[in-house]
Amino acid sequence: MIHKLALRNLLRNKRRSCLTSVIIVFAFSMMVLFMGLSDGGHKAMIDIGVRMGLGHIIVQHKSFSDDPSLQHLIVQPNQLIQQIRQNKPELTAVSRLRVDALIQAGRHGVALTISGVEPAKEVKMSAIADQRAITKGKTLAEFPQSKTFHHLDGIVIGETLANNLEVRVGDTVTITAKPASGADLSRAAFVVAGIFKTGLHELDTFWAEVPLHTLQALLGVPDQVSQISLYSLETPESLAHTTTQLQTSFNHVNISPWQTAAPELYSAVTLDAAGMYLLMLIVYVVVAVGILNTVLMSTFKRKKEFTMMIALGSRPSTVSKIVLLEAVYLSAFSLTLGLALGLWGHHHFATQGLDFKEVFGTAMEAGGVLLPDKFYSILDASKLSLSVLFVFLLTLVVTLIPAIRAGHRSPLAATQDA
Amino acid sequence: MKQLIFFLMCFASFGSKAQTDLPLGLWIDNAERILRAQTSASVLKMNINKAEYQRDFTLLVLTDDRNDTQKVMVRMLGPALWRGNMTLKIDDRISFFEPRNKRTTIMSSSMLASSWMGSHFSNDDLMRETDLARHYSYEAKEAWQKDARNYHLIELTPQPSAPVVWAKVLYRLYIDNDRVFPEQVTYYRRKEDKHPERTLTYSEVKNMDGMLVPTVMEMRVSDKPQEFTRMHYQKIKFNTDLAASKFSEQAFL
Repeated sequence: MIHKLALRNLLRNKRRSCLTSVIIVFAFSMMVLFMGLSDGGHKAMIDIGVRMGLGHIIVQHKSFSDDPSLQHLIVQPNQLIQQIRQNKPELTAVSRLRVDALIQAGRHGVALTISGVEPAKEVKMSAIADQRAITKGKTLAEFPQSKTFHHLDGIVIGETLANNLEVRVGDTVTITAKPASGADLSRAAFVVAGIFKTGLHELDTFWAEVPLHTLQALLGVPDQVSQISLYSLETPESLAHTTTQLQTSFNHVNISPWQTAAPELYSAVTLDAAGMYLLMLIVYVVVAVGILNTVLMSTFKRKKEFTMMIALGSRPSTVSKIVLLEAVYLSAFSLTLGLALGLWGHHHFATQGLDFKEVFGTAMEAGGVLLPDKFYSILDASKLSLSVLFVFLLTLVVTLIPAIRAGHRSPLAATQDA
Repeated sequence: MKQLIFFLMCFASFGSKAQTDLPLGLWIDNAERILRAQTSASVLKMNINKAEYQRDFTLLVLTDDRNDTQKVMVRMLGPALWRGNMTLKIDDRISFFEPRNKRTTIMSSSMLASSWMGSHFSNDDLMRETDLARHYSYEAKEAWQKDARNYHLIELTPQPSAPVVWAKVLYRLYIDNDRVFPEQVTYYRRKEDKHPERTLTYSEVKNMDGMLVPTVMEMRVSDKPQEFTRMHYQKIKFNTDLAASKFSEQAFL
């Protein structure tokens, strides 16, 4: 009976019910859409970040983060990789040796970071100098490695660096670095194998990659690397668990997740997520105020109706229940519609992707990571159901006071007011 | 050790270029050392002419090649603002001394490419890491006679894995009274390049301390034809007994 009454009441004033419903539908569908795009954007940022010379989990010497010198390298990395893979066979490991050096070509010289990589493994895991990033020439993996004394090793450099040095593929450049012994400077010549473009200024201007063994020989650090990067397909939660497990098993090295190894990327993601939560809060407030407004107006306007019901013998709780039920039906209907609309939008962006360049006209960089031109919406089911539940409960909480007040009006006072 | 390597390279070059029968490596080494001898002490004016600024320095340069360790000390005598600034090179180690704050800086690898005191010479030129006699093979390109002197144009090509930045160097020298005089060194970025990236010219041969030597060295870069750095030797004393203490960081103070 009271359900029927509540529904009839809603339909009696169609315009008011519709306006309230539109507010909720619009706000909620937008929230679903933004939640998906924001999560998708974060995932893209993290994916790109870990592929730009980072990794999901980074293994380093205990003192490397405080003093990244050649004295703090991981000795015999392959042995450690084998041990790690015995524990976690699903992880892919890549060794890297990094050092600050000087690259010279003719009379031009630029100070940069040089990364010694294992070309065959690197090309699969890293986005810096893979097939897609190389604009001219070859990747290190495709370039023939120096087998004899009379053949120079390859180097891949960023596009801006190549312009600054005025070099092209096939030219010779030299790399000068201070070896581990700290003595005189060491120098070696390389042939430019390829030129890459990542879109990130730091990498395109101050980054070069050479084969690991050549850099080890140049620096006098045979079988030593600065870091072992581990790549995984796990979710962030299980990744944190894996990191803790590995750190317990191998406590002689420092094992950290990408969040610690790349704090700037982590802060960018966290900051963006915080912005999203703020937006959600605003949406919740809008929804709550919208419903409160409608319910308040309807209870004020229907004072006579409620007092009449009470005068005819209805219990105050029945009146309160009717008002409450009106809000429940209205929000349930609007939320369902909003959710459907939001999911439809999400489906579009999840399959077609949002073309960032088309919308903003330019590529966007955040936290030292260049966002991809297109990114795809991702929705977390638990997060979504929590939002639905929260908005629904919020509606009930907001309606509670007007509903109780509606049931506790005296018929006498109502007639006097009239 | 460096000298031993050099002589080995010389022998190697004699072997490989036996058809020319010319001691090209030795000539280049002699030409490169003409202003240094065993030891040398010289005063020179350095004139830097760039689009942005002009600078004139007076320098005292001491060199010591008596043993394997090459030593060079450059002290700035003027202008007053720069007086007392010193650069010390012992083998591959370069340190700079700034007298006003009494601070010594050891050169790092990233400073190698920067120019020395804003001139067209880089720190790397001072280092002579790209040693012409050591890292290159030689080929006689041309020989001619002019003013009763034998001129030679020698093409230097880097050894296959030599850590050098110039893919071709053309060295023009002449032999006068059994002494080798450098005249022009042109540096090419790539082997097939027609135009050099920079050119070093030696001129104004004069008698200094009983020896004929070129007294002006001028470095020009091709993409800025108006700019140059010229070093004009005023006085040179050869083969004096320079004390080892002159080439230590104690000499800064």
